[in-house]
Amino acid sequence: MNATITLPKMDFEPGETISGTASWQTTQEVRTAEVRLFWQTRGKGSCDVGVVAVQTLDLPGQADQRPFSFVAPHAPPGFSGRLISLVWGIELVLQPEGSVSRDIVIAPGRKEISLEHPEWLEMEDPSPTKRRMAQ
Amino acid sequence: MLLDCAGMGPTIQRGTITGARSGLAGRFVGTLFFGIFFLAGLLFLFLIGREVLRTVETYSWPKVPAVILSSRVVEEPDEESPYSVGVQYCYTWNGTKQVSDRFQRSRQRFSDYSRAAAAVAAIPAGRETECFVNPHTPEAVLRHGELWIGLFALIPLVFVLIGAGGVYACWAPGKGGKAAPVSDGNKGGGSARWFGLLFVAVGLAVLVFWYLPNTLQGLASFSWVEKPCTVESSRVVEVDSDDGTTYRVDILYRYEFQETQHRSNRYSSFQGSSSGRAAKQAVVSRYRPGSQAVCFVDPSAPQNAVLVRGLGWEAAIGLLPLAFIAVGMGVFLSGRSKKGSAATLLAAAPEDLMDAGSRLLKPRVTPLTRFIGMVFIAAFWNGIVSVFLFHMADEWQRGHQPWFLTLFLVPFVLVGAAFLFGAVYSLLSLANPKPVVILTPGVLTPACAFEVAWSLRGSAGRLQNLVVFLEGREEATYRRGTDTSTDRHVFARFVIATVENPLEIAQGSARRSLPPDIPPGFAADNNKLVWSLRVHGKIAFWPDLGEEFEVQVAAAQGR
Repeated sequence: MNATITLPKMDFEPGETISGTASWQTTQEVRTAEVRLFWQTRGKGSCDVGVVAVQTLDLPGQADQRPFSFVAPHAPPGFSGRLISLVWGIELVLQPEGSVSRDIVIAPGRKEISLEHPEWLEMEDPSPTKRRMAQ
Repeated sequence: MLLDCAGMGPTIQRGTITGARSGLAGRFVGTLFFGIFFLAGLLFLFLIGREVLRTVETYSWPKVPAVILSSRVVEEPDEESPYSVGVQYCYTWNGTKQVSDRFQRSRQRFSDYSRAAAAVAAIPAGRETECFVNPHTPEAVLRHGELWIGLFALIPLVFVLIGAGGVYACWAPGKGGKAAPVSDGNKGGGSARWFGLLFVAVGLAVLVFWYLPNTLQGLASFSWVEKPCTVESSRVVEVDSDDGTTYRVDILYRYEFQETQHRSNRYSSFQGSSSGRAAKQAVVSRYRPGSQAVCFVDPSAPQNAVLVRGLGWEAAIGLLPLAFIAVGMGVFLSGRSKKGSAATLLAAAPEDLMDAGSRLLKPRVTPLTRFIGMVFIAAFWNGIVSVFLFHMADEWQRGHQPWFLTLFLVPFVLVGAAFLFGAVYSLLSLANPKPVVILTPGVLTPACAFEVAWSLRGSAGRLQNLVVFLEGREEATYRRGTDTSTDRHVFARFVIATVENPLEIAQGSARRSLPPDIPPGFAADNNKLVWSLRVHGKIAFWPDLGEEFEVQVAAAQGR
């Protein structure tokens, strides 16, 4: 199977429209086809995934090309920290063939929020116990 | 810095799908492996289920009067469980007098003579009682039998679940061949929760049905009556199990109590088998057939007696059920689904979360809840450990030297002491002043100003200072084997107020604004960005005031 998701750009403001095209060519009949807008976490914790919107593509053919469109949600924005990163994605799911996805950025200023800001740590933890645990 | 999602989730693929496909041979090997698991489990499940059903069936049989003709303990010395109830009774069915020798539908065997003797004592010859007659065949039983054997079905059930799950995984779409959609996520948490519950159930069953009764009997045996006894037979019994051969002591002795002769083969309160034949052989050598010894008899149930009273070191092994329960609870709690999934929670636009008014903040954990929790944990842990401490102290007082038990208990005692310290610390914290905090607006927004107003209820004069700050941290929960851990990293700590004036400590307020590029709060099952408002006060020679309040930070408006 060959499948692609084509997007005019990869980074979006919350509230902005995400439009693109999904195209595929498969060796067997496609029972269902849908495009999903989702986020997933990466990093030290076990992965969490949230599907925010789904567009079902009616009467999919074995070789087909369909437009899709979503509105980028306001939350959660893409971010990257020391333990956790949150990444948005668009995924084309063809049953029974499989799926393909692309990472995108949804965040204010079209830029992933970084949690690495030393200036945000204005003080030490005043609790000795919590300070020890953090070390 | 971006870290990889260590083996937890599928990797996003770009362009053409090239998901790894396991070959057909691999699937067949996997199917064979898990199929054996499944079939073996199913076989044992069937055998246990059949026994339970046979027992359940007797409950529907009509009850008829019966008279016991004879009863005795039957011995078959070559068996692992050599004792059973031998009984003859007569009853009348359809006008015909019948004689039966069936005690239960399935023959019940005992490794403990006193249990067989107790069953026999309840049906002496000549007693008028009732039996249950199968209306379809000439078959009768005196007792229904025990249904708790059905609990053992949990063990083969695990095999069946693992086997069925494994076979499914070999052939399921997206597992054996096709790449699974990334957005389907990791759906393995459900089975982990069930395994956690199974651990808890097994631990509780062992604790309640085996460990606690034996422990209580062992402790009660200190007040039992000492009597001379004569050893009738002594041997080391080999017990074959899945884990190999284990051994137990089987010494049958007779004794007199209140002019009645009894027999018992109970050596101590914990009668299980374990590895190491030599130690058991040494015990058996001390009790040769025909020799005289001393036993301890339960005056309220004289058929119960032991040769060694109290709790042996084997009793310490019984703490393992606690570990089962703890691990099971950990797995279950870490895998349980949370209210309001992240997808639902976070689909809301910031304006939906905005609350123009003020909000009285609630503490994440109240001092009273913390104290009750610590007391419960300390009482539960130390209550069980204290049983062994008393026994150990008693052993030392008697001049024995239970070094193994003493060393074994050291870590358990240290953990118990830490729990006690925590309970005392949280008790002292209850006397601290209670902060009441009002946040305006109720939901914070990046780049927007906010105000925090506080007042302390109680003896605020004891505080040397007060620091109010907003803290943002990442919380990542992950599993490693059966352990579940949560790592935390504080990425922001914004000072709102630092006051040392007693009047300002007791009541005050402060304003500030947040940077424009901070992230909003985020809460998924395993990953969180938590914002909290913390109030910390230094108190001399006393636990500090430390309260944490949950704060909502909404997403920034688009620029």
